[in-house]
Amino acid sequence: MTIAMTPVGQPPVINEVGPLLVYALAFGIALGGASAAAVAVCGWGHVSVSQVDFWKALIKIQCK
Amino acid sequence: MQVGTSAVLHPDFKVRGGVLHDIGLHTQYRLSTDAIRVLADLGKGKHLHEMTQHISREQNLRYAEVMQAITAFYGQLARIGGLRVTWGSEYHWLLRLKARLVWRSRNRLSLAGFIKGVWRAYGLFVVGFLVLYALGSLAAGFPLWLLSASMAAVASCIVHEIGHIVAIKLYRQRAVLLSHAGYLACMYLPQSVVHERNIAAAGPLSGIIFCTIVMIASHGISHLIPLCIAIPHAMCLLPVCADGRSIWAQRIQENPS
Repeated sequence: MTIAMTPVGQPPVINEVGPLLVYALAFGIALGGASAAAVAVCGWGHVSVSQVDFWKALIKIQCK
Repeated sequence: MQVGTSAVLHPDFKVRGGVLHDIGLHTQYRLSTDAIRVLADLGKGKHLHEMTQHISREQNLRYAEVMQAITAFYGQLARIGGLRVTWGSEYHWLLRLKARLVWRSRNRLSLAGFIKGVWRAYGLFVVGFLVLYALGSLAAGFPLWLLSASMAAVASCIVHEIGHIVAIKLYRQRAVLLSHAGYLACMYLPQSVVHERNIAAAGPLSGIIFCTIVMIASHGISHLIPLCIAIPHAMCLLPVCADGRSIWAQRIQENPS
């Protein structure tokens, strides 16, 4: 059984904000969120947030 | 009481003489005999289960086989925003929620259509994030850069799509907007390779330009953030992404008219 449709002539083109972009942004935001949460949990709220702080905080949480 | 899954065609679509006409894009799709039958049943408001049972009995086919064929056809229609589905209680509520979130809705290329599309794509995400951020700020003093970075990321996605729309309008082409949670797209019929390439490139380039402006103008947030947001936009130019495929593929011929 074939239930199908085929475009007559040129099929339409879809230009999208690709899922890859959305996943990358979501990952970035999640990383940022985790970073902020890690800093807050460790009571480092007054320390400027950097990637180094983030990893330090994560390691500290893991070690507790 | 169990409510079955049913679907209706988007008002942009009409079936005439074995052909599905897309009024929004002024394009057509040739339908197989069974597809005509399914679309006729859709028009009568038949539920998916009812339709499947009827066809399988009539053509002496297995229920699962018919169901698979119908849902594959629904998928084809859904890809171009052609179906509005009411999900029945035979599916778990989590599945229904997921289906509602990822089902493509179709809007005209107008200001109202654009606002609707953007709201469907990013509205829920932005509201959810703002609530979490507000709670996080009160409870744990979340930094401002987190808010700026997230909003800049969403804004860059909107600017990306505006880039495509401006190029489509410049070339006076018919287009529609497709959207679901976290997804916004323009669908159009390119008239030439050059048009397709330029329209495709306009989106990522707009996103990159937006990030550059934010990078230059920002004082409060690190320059690293707009740079990180610009990278995925730049990646859209690669052939593995939808925009990149349009830029690099030479699959349509120049139309002299």
